[in-house]
Amino acid sequence: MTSFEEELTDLLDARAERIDVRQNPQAEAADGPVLLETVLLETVGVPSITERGAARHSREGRTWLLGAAAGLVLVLGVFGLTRGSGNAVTELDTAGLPGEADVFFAELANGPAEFVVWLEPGVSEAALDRVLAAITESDVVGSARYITWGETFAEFQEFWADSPEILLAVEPEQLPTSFRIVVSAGADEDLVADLIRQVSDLDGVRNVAFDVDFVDLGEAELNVPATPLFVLPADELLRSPMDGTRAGTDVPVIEALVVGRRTDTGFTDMVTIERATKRGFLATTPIEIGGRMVEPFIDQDGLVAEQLDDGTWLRFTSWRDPGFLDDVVPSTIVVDGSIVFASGDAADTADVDTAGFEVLTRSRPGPHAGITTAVLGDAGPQMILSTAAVDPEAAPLFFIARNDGDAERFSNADIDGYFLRPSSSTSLGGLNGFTWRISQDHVASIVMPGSDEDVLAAIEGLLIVDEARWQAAVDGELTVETETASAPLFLLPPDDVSLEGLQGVVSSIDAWTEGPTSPGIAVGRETATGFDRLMSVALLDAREFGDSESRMIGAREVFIAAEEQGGSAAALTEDGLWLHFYVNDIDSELEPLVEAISVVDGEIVFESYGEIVELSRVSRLSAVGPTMSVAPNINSNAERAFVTRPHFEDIGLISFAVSFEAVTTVEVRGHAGFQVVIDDASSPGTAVTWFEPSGHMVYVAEPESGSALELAESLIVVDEDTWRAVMAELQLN
Amino acid sequence: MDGDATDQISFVTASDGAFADFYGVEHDLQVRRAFLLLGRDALAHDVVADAFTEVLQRWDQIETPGPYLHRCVLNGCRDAAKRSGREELTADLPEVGERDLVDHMAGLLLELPFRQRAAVVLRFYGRLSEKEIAEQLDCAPGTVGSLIHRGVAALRGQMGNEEQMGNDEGERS
Repeated sequence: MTSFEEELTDLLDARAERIDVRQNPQAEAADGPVLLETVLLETVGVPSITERGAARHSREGRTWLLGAAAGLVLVLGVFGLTRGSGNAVTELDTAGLPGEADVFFAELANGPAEFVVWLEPGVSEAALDRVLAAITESDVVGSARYITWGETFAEFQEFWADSPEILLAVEPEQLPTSFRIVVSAGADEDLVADLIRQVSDLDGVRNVAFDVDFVDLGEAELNVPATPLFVLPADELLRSPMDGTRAGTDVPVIEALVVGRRTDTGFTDMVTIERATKRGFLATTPIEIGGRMVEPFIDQDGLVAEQLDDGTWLRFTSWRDPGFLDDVVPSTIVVDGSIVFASGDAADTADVDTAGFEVLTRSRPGPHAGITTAVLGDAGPQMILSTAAVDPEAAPLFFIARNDGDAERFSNADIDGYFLRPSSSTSLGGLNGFTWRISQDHVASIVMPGSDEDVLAAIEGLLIVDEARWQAAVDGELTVETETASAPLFLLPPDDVSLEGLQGVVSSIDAWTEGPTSPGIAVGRETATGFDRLMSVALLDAREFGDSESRMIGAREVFIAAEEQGGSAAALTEDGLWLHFYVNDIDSELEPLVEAISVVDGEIVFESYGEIVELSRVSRLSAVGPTMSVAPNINSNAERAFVTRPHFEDIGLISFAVSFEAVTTVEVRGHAGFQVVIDDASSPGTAVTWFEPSGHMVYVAEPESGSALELAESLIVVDEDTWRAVMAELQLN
Repeated sequence: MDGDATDQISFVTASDGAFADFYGVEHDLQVRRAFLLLGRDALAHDVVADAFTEVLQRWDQIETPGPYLHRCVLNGCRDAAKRSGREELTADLPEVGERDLVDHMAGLLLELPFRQRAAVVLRFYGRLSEKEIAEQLDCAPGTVGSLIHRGVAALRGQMGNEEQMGNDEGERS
């Protein structure tokens, strides 16, 4: 290639880059199929559903447009039309058609009209082919589009954009796919009606609708407080020790069914079989059951999972006794994405005993097909909660608990409309269990020690919460020990602590990062009840307050924090780090402390003076990572609560404490802590401080009115998004 | 449309994904090629859209959709170029005095007869062999060599002349 040809190649490449290959603005954030659909619609001249639906986008009217994410799948080469007779409207036999058919045919009289064939989730290929055949063989179909899971999900997300709890609950696989059929203007209406009746009766067709309307998906399924349901136990149980607690699985489930054997009083040998998008537990060494390779869950008997060819998982869960999994697993197969359980004589495998096993319930396809399990508590008052989707048309299912012939303990009760079924205590190792209906689509089970009255009281105290709150409770109370000690901790006062009272001082709500890891010391005077004149010195990599005036103390230039930030001061060391001093009184205490401090080889050296001695030293400053706090106004009498990492691990008192008159040990939120009496003229009162399991030290002070301990007990651990949302709301107000 | 042609209705569903994959792989490249040949964004997009539609309608009958698509795009570009005059093809380019080297080359490229232009683009942008270009242009490989040779020579001559003219003007000023 000559040099000119090389130059020509470069120029052509550069020129080719100057076209925006995404011509259609709708395709800005999408990939090829969107463009293609537009291209094809434009090219073939089929009216776009998006265009047609644009004027009808009304959620109130249960009508909404097909979103921008329409995908591939056009259709249409050359199509033929059969002209109608013109007076067919009056003669049309609409028997067997959905109620909105009149509107559809009225629209058809004036131009192309559309109807939607909703398919059952997981519709088989064979059924799909039959629907396709009916459409293609019809003379009245102008065009048809198959809307995939993904496309439906995209539309669903757009439609429910303002309902995140619903969006959270729905996986694409749980939505039905559909055909959007455009009948050309002038088509013979009798033939159209025949076609609608024909496809309505086909297997795999859920229903025919004349608009894209998710009501048919099941309004009731969406009309629940939180989806999936998350349940928190009553306060006293939440605050109990929860060592070794397992978090809920919350694995999206495509289909679920329960098999087992009926007894005179209920069910036994229950196994839940789910086709789920995840395995739901860590990978383990596969074992063979009846010729099938499954992965067992190490720490929980009776849970195995098998990965299917399509990447989903078939999970088998039994309660306590895994023995009958050996019988159930080989009898379960997946056909066309649907779980098939072959029981008794129908089982292909002769060497397993499935006699008496039957499918007791099968989840209704849809957003709530999943089974959400919240398991709280392995220690202290034990509480196991489980919510499960159920078929509302079936009898409420005795879901978890087994009833091994202990008939006298099996009875029904009704509490506030809940259908309550106590379970056998003997089969649960002395625990007491109840299952009851918690919403139209969910049953919940609770297993815990105690009397019937204890259990009923616990049920009454249950809270149905959204996922964020549930997760926050789990993170804050249950699993924090396994998380990094530097994880931020977010706390908010409960709703009944007036946030309005915090208005106007939100700017002092702070977020900061402390660090780096470096030695720090606490100094002060020991008293009979605790410590007095507690002060601290730390080495940090930055000064943590804004520009301020400085004064010379000895040879050091010391920057003094603004008064409202407390008694902080900082001085730059020779190696570029900052010495931070936290004192109770700048005027009287800073100077002697600064003079008593030197830095030798990166270590703080303290020379005692008067009664001030070194109380504690840490090998590393544990104050790392961001902490978030609510500190409405440090100078006001408003409640204040803020959170920080402890600077000093060995003592439970914090660096910015004021002087304490008395220190007593106290249990705070189930954790050991201290209660102190603040003897400070500007904000007298009490304060408590304690360690959260996350490693964060929390300090709550409530001057004069109320109780710091009560405020501490009421704090709610929230996730960062929630915390920020509340903060933003406060600032807006 | 012919009312008896319902048997020609064909469905391509997203479930098989093959056409979507094909579209994803080919689309951008074809648009860029068409853009080089036609000079205008909208024309390039239209031609490529038409080509994909044609492929889609015959999806089940085509064994090797790639070459078929390429020919559709090329034919579409040729037809579009015929319909559009040279002035229309260069309408999106900056004024002559405001063109950079890339635009300058693009303008000269659009001056070439279509087959020469196509041969040059397929050879130096598409990196196709003479044999592959011959298949797409439906001509003998030897003809391709000639088309490329004449096209490159014309571009070199024009770019050289204008460069020289620019130098001359610079010297005069």
